[in-house]
Amino acid sequence: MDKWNVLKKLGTKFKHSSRTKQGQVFFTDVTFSLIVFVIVFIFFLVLWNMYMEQLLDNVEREEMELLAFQVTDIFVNTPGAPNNWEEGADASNNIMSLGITTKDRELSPSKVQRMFALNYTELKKTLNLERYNLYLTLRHSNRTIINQTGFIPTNISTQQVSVRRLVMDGAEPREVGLILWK
Amino acid sequence: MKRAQAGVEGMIAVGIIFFLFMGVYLVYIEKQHLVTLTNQELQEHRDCLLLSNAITTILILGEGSQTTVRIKYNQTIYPLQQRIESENSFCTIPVKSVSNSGYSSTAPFNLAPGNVVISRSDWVKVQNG
Repeated sequence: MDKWNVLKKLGTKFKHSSRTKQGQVFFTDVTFSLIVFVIVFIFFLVLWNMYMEQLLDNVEREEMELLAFQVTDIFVNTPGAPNNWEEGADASNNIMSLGITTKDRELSPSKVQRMFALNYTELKKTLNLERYNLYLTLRHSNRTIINQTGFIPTNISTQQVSVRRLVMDGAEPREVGLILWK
Repeated sequence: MKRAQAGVEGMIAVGIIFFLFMGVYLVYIEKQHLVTLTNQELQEHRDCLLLSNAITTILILGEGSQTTVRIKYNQTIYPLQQRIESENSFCTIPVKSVSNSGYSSTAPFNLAPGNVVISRSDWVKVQNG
């Protein structure tokens, strides 16, 4: 065998072994990078879903806050509609809006009494808060409860909004509280 | 022999990568669609809450008060159900005394995109203006 043939054989061997190793390296690389890619991709999908859920929770919470403010605003600033809604025997069917004051932030005892006499389902229906649970209170200024209706939020409640409004009952300050939860 | 094997392996690898990217692309299209829908839903919801808030405020402020809000999407008000609905969203109002005439009427009515004038006469009057 001359010098050139030996070099040629060696070259071929080298080429073959080199190609095989390249192939193995290629597959190891591809497999590894695919696994990394899939893991990162799944991570982003999970993150995406988490943020979407958070976004929807925030939207719902903002709506609950707005509703709680609207409902208590109507309570303490209007006499309700019709003006004498508390007089009917079947009041809940005829109420257009539920207000408990005679004028701006001055409680009407008869309206307060009638409102707390409404059963829970009727009250939620009248306030159009059927999607949520509520706990409504009327308190003295020292926070002792005068009247209450509804249910206190449980440990499993996921969203909770609490609003307190000050009103006058004659010369006495009172506090109307509403907790909206689900 | 070895070259041919390497070719098949290469094709399999390229195939796997191709299908993987196809999958990723499909997920991308689905998520893009979802973003568009969510964006529209949020904008409709924003319009809905804007109307709901304006109606409540005008009710509280009493007779003679008026406000104008601008909405981007069609909204339908159902006074009896105390509900405002659009194509992909809805919200609620805590009052029933809403109509497009300002007087006692519980018939649902539509509001087109643009300015909406909310005023108070006997009931809360809501109409395009």
